[in-house]
This record gives sequence, structure tokens and C-alpha cells, in this order.
Amino acid sequence: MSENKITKRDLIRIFWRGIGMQFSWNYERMQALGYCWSILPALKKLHRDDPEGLKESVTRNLEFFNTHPYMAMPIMGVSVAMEEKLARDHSVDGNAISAAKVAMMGPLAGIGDSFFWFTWFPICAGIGVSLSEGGNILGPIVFLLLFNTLNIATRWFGLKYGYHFGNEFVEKISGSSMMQRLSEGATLIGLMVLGVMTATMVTVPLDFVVGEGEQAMTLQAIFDGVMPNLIPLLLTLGVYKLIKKGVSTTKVLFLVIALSILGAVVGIF
Amino acid sequence: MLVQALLVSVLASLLSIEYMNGHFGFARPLIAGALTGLILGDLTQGIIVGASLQLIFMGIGSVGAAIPPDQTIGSVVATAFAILSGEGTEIALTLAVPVAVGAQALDIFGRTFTTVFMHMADRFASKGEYGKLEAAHYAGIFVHFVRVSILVFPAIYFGVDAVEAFIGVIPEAVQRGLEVSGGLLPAVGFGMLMTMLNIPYLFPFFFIGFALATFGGFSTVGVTMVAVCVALVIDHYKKGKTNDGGEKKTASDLDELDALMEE
Repeated sequence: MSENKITKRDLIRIFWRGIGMQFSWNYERMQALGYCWSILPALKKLHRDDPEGLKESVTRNLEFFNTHPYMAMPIMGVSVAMEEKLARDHSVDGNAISAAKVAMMGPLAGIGDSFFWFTWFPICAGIGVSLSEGGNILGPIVFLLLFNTLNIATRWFGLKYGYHFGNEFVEKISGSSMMQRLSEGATLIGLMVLGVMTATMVTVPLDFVVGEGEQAMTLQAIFDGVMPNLIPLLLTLGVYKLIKKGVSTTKVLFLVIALSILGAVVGIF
Repeated sequence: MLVQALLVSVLASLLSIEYMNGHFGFARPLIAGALTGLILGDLTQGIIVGASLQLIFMGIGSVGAAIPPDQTIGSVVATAFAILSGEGTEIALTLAVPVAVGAQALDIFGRTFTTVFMHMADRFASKGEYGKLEAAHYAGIFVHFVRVSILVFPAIYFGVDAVEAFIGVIPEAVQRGLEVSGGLLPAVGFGMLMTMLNIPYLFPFFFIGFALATFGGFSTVGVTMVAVCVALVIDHYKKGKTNDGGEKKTASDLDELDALMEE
């Protein structure tokens, strides 16, 4: 029993792996494989005597995931705590873990981007550049020290407190009706976040020009007149329908790439 | 020149991988310039060029799924040219942005190609072959090493004109198509997620989120705030139904009244 528990050593391992989380970043599921890879040692430990449970858990963690790279750490902490509870007594539902990840990744990405990329980085780089005058090596060194103190602290403490928070949280809510309510709440938030991401992250550039002279309009402008982001919405819903029907995601993937190239050859894009 | 081109190319690859992983800032122009200077034997010049490039690229960072011009490759190549040609900061400033834009196209290609590993990982997971799953993750390193090297090595060894000619060999429509697919592919991931978040009666909330972003200009953080509030309110009513205690009942009745009055 106790050997299947997450310890500080396991968290340290997740911390190190988290640094290499984006080796396999890809357009389809973005950080998904990296997320799974980062927590894989922990999952293996939790499901030591249950190969089927491990398989389920690994598959679940290969779903779409993307957030600010530092902010992935608190999410890993929370989700590993939930995975631990699931492995121990199945009082946590797998879908609730997925929903919790989706619900957290959007807002944390927004906070991480605006704080680290657009506030903290310019401050540190500004100091670094001003110290670099005449080729002074102090500039690069001060920049690295300053920037990374907060980087590393955010990752480690985010992971640690994410795990403890997740742990307390799942203990409190482990009654079954509570779990269902949490799952529904997280799914609601997750669906709304997915709606935003569909509107903001899926882009279909229809540059094809219809009409001549004064009346010339791009196809994009025409569709925007009907409803902005209509095509990204239809594309996402179409993919959803196909996958729900049982078409393999690999086929859908090649279909989308073929569509892109075909569209470019024909001149729609 | 061969040794120098090799060294710069390896440095550019390592920094590009650091740019995506770690995010310790080594791949930013300030440090990338300094390191390029260091391996070419002119650290001082590297820092000076890196610092000026840093100011150009200051506002550029990757947000969400958008891939910006590749500031790392732009800085390494531009700094190397500045030092090797002896022309200093001016040539670096003219070269950095065009090279960054060219490298961006290859970055997009690399990140499209790694989708293949994602699907390999699915297969390995279903067979329980976790060692291979890890290898699929590491394979991404190789892809990025290659996509950086095929640009940077010839750029340093043959000069920038030669590189432009090389990219010109790929039909323009195919280049454009691959670029476009980067915008379409997230739909595949989202479609998969939707099959996971499968509580049919909650499905309208997908469209509410979509509408808030499309017509209201809401950011993800804004929509999440709305979503949390809605979830809490709905949860409150559901709880009211399951608990038949007198006090709870009146409380939820009062809330219902409030909701009606707001309408």
C-alpha cells in the first residue's frame, strides 16, 4: 500500500521531466505526449500491480493538452494526486481527471503568458541589455540569474503545492455524488474553454478573392459576414463527428493535411 | 569555414530545443548572440550584437499555439555573419528578421511532422509498450535537430542566397498548404477532447464559450471566470434537489427567486 504512494522523489522526477515536456510538441495535441511522458514514472508506480489500469491512465494522458510550460507543473501536481486516488480506491472518475486538466490549462496558460512572457521576461531582458553595453558579460549573466530564479521556483512550488492541493481536494470530495458534481462542473468549464480555443486557435485562412474591382471580396470576408470563425467551428465539429463515428484520428489527421495542401493548390488558401 | 559552420549549426539546434524545452532564456537573442560569439572566438562582439537583436525581438514570444518568427535561429545566424564577415552589428540587424521568418516556416514544418510521433505513441500505449512511447517523445529532438541544421549549416557554409534557392525547390502551393495545416490541425485535438468531455446536456456550453470569444472578444481567462460562476450556480441547484432538508430547500427557493428577478 505505502509503496504505491507518491513521494517527494517522484515529484522531483516529474519536475526534471517537465523541463523536456515539449520535445514532441505537435499541432494536433500539442503538449499531450510530453505531459504523459513527464508523469509516466509516477503512473507506473501507482499502477504497479494493475497493467490495465496503467494502460487506461496512460491513454487518458495522451489527450490534447497545452498550457504555459511553467504552469503545466501545478496541473501535473493536481492530476497526479487525482490519479493516485483513482489507483488506490477508484473513487475518482477518469473523466473527472481529464476535465480537471482541461479546465485548468486555459486560464493558467493566459496567466503564464501574460506574466512570464510579457511582464517578467521584458523586465529581465531590459536589465540584461542595459548591462551588456560594450560587450559586458555581466548583462547575459544577470539576465539568466534573474529570469530563472522565478522560473525554477514557479515550477517546483507549483508542482509541490499543486499535488498537496489536489490531494486534500480529492480526500474531501471523495463521496460519489460529490465526485459526479465535480465531474460535471469541470466538464462544463472544459467545454466552454474548448469553445474559446476553437474560436481563437483554429485558423482557416480563406484568401480566395471573389468578384472583381470594387466588388472584390475575400472568401474570408464573406464568411465573416455570416459569422466570424464559422469555418473553424464547422471544422472542429466535423472532426468531432468523424471521431465519434469511429474514424481513426490518424485518418482524420491525414485528411486535414491533404485538405490544406489541396486548398493551397486550388488557391482557396 | 566547415568547422565553424558545423559548430554554429549544432549550437543553433541545441538552442532551438532549449527554446521549446526548459525556457531558461538561453535561446533569447541576448544569450544566443553571446554563445555564438563565444564559439566563434569573439564573445564581446557576440554580446553587443545579441543585445541589439534582443531589442528587436523583445515583444516576440510564443503565445498558445501561434509560432512566431524564430528569434533563436535569426539571432545565431545573424551574429555569426556579423562576426565572420567582420561587418559587425549592421549586417546582423538586416539579416536577423528575414532569417527568423524563413526559420519559422521550418519550425512549423517540424511541429507538423511530430504529429506522426503522437500517433505512434497512441499505438504503443494501447499495446503497453511504454519504452517505445518514451522513444516517440525523444524522436521530436531529432526532428528539430534536422530542421535547424538544414537551414543553418548551408546558410553559414554557402551564404544566405544559397539557402533561399534551396527552399525555392519545394512547390509554393505545398509550402503554403503545410503552413495552413498548422492552423487547421488543432481542430483534430479539440474534436478528440470533445468526445472525452461527453456529457450531452452540457454540450451547449461549448457554443456559449465559442460565442463569447467570437462575438464578445473574451479571452480564455475571461471565459473561465464565467464558466466557474455558471458551474457553481448550476451545482447549487442540483444540490438543492438532492438534499430535501427544509432549510436548504428554502435557500434554493430564494435563489431561484433571485434568478427570476434578474431576468
